[in-house]
Amino acid sequence: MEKIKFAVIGLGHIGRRHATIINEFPNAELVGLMDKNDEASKHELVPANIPFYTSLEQMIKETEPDVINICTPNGSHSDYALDCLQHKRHVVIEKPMGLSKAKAEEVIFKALQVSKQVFVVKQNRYSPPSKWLKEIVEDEMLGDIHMVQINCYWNRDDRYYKKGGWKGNLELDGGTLYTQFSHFIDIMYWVFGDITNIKANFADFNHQELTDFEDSGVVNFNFVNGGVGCINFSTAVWDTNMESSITVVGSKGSIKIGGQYMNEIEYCHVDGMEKPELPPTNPPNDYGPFKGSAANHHYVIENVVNTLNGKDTITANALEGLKVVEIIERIYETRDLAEIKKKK
Amino acid sequence: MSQPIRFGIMGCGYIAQRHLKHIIDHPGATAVGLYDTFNDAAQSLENEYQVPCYTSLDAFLGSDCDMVVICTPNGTHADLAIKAMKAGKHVLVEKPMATSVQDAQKMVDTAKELNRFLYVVKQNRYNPPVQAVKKIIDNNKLGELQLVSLNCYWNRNEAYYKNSDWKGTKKLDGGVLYTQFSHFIDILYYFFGDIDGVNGYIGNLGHHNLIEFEDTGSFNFKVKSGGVGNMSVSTCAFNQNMEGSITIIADNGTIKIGGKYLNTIDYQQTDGFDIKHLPQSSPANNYGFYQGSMSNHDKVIDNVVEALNGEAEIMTTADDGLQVVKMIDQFYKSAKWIS
Repeated sequence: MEKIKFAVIGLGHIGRRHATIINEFPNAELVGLMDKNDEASKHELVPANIPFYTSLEQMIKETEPDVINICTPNGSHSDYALDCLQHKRHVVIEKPMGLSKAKAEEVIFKALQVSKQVFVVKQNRYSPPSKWLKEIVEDEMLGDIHMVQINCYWNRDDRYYKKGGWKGNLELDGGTLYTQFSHFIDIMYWVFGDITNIKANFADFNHQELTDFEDSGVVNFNFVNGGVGCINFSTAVWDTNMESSITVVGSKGSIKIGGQYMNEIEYCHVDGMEKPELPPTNPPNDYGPFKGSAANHHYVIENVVNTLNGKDTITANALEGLKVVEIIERIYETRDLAEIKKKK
Repeated sequence: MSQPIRFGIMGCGYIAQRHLKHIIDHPGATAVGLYDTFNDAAQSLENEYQVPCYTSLDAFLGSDCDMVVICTPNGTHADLAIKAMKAGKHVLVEKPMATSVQDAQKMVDTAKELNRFLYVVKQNRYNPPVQAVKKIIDNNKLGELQLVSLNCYWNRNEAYYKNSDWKGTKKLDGGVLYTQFSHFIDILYYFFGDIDGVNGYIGNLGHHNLIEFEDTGSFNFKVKSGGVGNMSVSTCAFNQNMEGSITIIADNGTIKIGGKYLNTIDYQQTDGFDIKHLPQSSPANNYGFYQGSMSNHDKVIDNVVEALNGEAEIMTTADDGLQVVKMIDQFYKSAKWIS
């Protein structure tokens, strides 16, 4: 198998994780790092002795990566992807792929034009409970799907939204569904398909000074394939994450996958099936006081290496990345930020 | 104690028997008459408990009782309650109070006009976790509500509907929000008051040719006193009840009352006011091939006897019952039907 040359742009928490995993991955070589901020390279978790640049063009020219992993703030994902594709590099885009369907479409158009691959990071698909859910729904073990409920009750307070950071900013962050919960919307779309007839109520309870957008919402919709669905989410939960869960009521079985990050089967009552013993889910991304989604980034890198060597197919392709952005965009079309951010 | 309160019971189905047992067991109450249009149902209760039964409404209402407990099919509650009050009786009506706002309003108006007591059975309010949470809400410990979510995923199968001559009909049953889930809506109202801005979807997804209404619904709404909410319900849960829960996310803590019928605290993370040492919850009403809500009917009868004797406040007033019917009506009116 050929060694794949990677570069990483954006050296925040997730960028450093990509860099570290690539650096240790067989058949992968970390050839370059880029961040607009010179200081970013000095973090102790940035792999040592890798050429660092503050200019994308220069980095590409001098290090000749096959693939560039884009780990910059959300709002710049699609623009960087376009730049990298323009330079005829494959791209791995951290979620979300962009902050609008139009931007995501531009990326796909460009990728087709230059015949390069777009990988979208959806590492939660690798969690054992997610894979199990996908399998049993594909095998129609749950029968007709009547109801799907997603709950994401998290804590993101002033320990997370720091002054001067990009998180909380409408243009760069986009909103809680993009930054915190797009993984769960991806799992929903991956397993149950597209949604329609979206109706929602949003609110902001304790992020008036911290973000430009909602901290909570309750969203109802139907699935194009049949069934009713809802997403309830909040980052206003007191002190600590409560749960990330998906509940499915089908004609032949009911299940709930829960835990703090959809990491365990909490309920399984399915015709002709016992609750399975799944391998443990990887621990969540640890941001100090914050816990994010399951850390499965090594699977992402593995998928890129294998796909570019013609030995696998893309786990989450650009069109799937676009659909998640498009679903979130449609949910947010019903959001009135002026109303939500009105002082209490 | 004053004279025992004389109870009569209308409708002799399963729930009636439960009321009857508690009335007989209560030192401050006595059962004086039963009424059912089906002679067999009434007769079997008469034989077992030696309480006279009537198949004539006029004869029953002419008998000497102080309070009538209405346990007939939902769609008949209003008419029978009004007739009973006009005959001078006080009324305790099983949930749901009525199956339309108009009917519930008429009941309340009649009670006020004739100066009769009109109470509604909402036995889930007595569940120990519900009482514990109500207390911390009333003490202002939770702070402002942010998000409340009600989930009720139950199983009501073919046998349930086929064994009943009224369940599943629009006219007498009314819908799952009336028959199965009005308890949960009552708890929502009990904790946080009225709602508005309801959006939702309902549909009959798994009970075709069995029922005349929805079996599944999901709604979002705003709580008038602050906060957003979601309610998702279904009677399609495979083979058995899955969950009956209310999750509360508030300024100072997060609490989930769950189990299958609001009988346990499933999660709590609070700023120093965790609920501890809860008394054991009563078992669910067991109807053989399905299970209902928690059985607290003994406490309902206690409360009614004390209220009539002026020794306690009534747990659910008719006004509360009317509010819950109005909320159910809001859910139905705002929901879009999906097929």
